[in-house]
Amino acid sequence: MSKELIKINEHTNDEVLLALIKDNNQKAYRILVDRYLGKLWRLSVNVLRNEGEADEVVQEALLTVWKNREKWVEGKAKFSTWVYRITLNRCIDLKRRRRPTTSTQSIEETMASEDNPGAENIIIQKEKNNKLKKMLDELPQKQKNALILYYYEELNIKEISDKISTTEQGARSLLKRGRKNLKDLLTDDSKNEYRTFQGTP
Amino acid sequence: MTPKMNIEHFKEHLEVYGAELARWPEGTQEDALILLQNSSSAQDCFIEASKIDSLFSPEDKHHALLEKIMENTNDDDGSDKATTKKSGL
Repeated sequence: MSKELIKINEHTNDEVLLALIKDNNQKAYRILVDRYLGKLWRLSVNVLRNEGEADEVVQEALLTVWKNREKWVEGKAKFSTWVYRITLNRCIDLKRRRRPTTSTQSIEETMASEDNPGAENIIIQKEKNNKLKKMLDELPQKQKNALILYYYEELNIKEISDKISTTEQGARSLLKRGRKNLKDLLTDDSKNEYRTFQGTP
Repeated sequence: MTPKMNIEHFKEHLEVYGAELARWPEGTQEDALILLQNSSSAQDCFIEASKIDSLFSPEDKHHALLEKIMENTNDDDGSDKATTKKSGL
């Protein structure tokens, strides 16, 4: 099918988008950026603990995709692997260049700024929360509680073990099994999404 | 530099603490960074763990960054892509 006739949306796979991006298709690029931006940003914040630096690294990584669009060779590498890798390597370089580590204030500011989302983002966030809630509901109650205490209450292992009346080793084990189960659910979800939309022209 | 932390130890930490290095026990974060710098397997595991973490983080602040990135693609078109071919989508 001619590239001009391909209809694209947020479910179009990376390879099709990249083929269109090669022809300077900004709509395809926007979909690709939107797909990876949040994940790459989280990855960067995990390493850098600095919102501003994470913004810069992610922006630079994704603009590299655009600037080198004509060089992208289909089938040579998986795009997601490549873009995660370049982002992570830039984070590591930056982090190791600026030792000793900076204050943790920036991440706290990040959390504070997240309290004021726009309308469009509220919808996106709501969809994401619903998806996460469904997945968490499929976990055994103790694993679900441990993950909620870890991510939302930001409790450490000792505090989680006190809160759910288990040992520290028990809390570690719950987090480990909870993450493993979430990963499996996420994989199933991606496969289902792909099956649902692979027929979309 | 030889990493002090091996891949199994690294994976074990990822499984328990996730990919937010600041929440790893004192003294393990720097070792983890050294390993990450030197091991593609460690990078792959870290990326996977970060995907789980991202389920719990709000998406709200990325809209502005998305627009900023898109603006920069226009700059790029203006400088070295003077004859941009539109695909008609």
